[in-house]
Amino acid sequence: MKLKSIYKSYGDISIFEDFSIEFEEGKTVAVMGASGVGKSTLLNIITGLTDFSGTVDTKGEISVVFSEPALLKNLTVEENLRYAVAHAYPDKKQLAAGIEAVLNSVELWDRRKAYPGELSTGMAQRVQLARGFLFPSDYLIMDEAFRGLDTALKIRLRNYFLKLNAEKPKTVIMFTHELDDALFLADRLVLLESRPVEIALDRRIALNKERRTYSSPEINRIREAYMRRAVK
Amino acid sequence: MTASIMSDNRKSLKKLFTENRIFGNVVYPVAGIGVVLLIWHLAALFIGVEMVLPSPGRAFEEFFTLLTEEEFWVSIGNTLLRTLVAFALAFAVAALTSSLSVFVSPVGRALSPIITILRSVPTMSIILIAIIAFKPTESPVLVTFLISFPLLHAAFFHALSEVDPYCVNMSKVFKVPVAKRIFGLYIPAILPDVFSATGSNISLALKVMIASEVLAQTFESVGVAMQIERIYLNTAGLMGWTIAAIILSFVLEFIVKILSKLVLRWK
Repeated sequence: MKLKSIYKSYGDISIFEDFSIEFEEGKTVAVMGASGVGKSTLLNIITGLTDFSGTVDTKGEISVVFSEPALLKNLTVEENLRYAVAHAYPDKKQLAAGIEAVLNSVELWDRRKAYPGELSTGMAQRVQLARGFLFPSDYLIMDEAFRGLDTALKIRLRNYFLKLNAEKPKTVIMFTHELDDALFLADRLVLLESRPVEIALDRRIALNKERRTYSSPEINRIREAYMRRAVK
Repeated sequence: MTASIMSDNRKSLKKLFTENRIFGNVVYPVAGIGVVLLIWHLAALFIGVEMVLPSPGRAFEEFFTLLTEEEFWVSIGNTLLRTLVAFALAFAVAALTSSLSVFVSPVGRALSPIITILRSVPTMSIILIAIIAFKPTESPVLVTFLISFPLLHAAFFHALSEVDPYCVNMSKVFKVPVAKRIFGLYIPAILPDVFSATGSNISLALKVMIASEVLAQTFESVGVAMQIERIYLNTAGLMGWTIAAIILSFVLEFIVKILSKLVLRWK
């Protein structure tokens, strides 16, 4: 995915001026940055939810995991998945099999008849993850998908994400405020500034905590780089 | 030990009075109506002139007599039909204008002052103007439409504006077909507010319809029947018709409530 010469402003406030960035196919990229730097605007540009000038070159469809549940209250879990993706599956048997597989992956098959009002916050986010991966898209955009969740739940959700991404690989762009999310899930970290700064990550460092902990020099270097730029 | 038993008794009594469904749905409403009837009865006794204020017993006697008359059912049927036609028209037009106002901003801005004017015009002005311009059977329909429409428009507009923006954005990103968005997202999202607005406005529509019929002298209608009772100073008969109108209003609201429960299963 390539964004070229993006210009975007709200009234007199310019958010992007001749902004360009490229997201490598098949990789998970975390986009971070201070509040107001334009993360939400960038997300809206990528997903086509806002007007802008410039070009966004994509090779396929996009699916999104929002920070809020974004589930239709009048539909069950299974119906919510059908609502969002059925039009992309001409073969209904394939759709039914896909729904079963993805709900099993996030351990929600038993709750497929539940309405969103009967789900916990973590379950609702799992439905969103399932929907994001079920949709036959090439790109998955995650907007603060784990925001406001307790640590244990966040770790479980990260694991569900890794499992789904291994089963149905996508190019993932995750917008987050949490450095830990980036360290655990992303291959690259993009610090959003007037010119985006990229830092390569090695997820194995974060995932293999037994051998290399957070205090390892590599992680500290990334953390310091992020903090230094965030403070600026 | 004794204090604990007393506290438990108090708790179960409190539960009986506050949480018991029979108390909540039957005993309390019946008690409320009973109090009103008692006050009415005492006031009738105090005044002592049936022409001014008949007792509840006399009013209900008149009401039950009306039930046996064919003319009563014809009048009720005509008034009900006109109310439903006017309300259905207002409903359909409000659904269209509110959708246009939400999704086509210039239309919304153009409609806004018209809606405000319609809401501000005194009901009586609308009735009097309509009576001059239209037939006695048409003017009550027009008046009820003009009174119901801005209220329904405002309710639908508010409901459409409040549809979850995350679900709206999700539908756009996942490229959900427009028809599916309308029937899967928007209509179910606004239904609770639509039922709520329908329930409260349909009774108002019936009241406006009867008032308009009185002034328009609409043949074979509840309004004219009430007017005839008034001319003959038969206040008990007037009260009988009023009871019929109240029961009709309850029935309409009850039907909306039942429909709401059937349709809004997820709630």
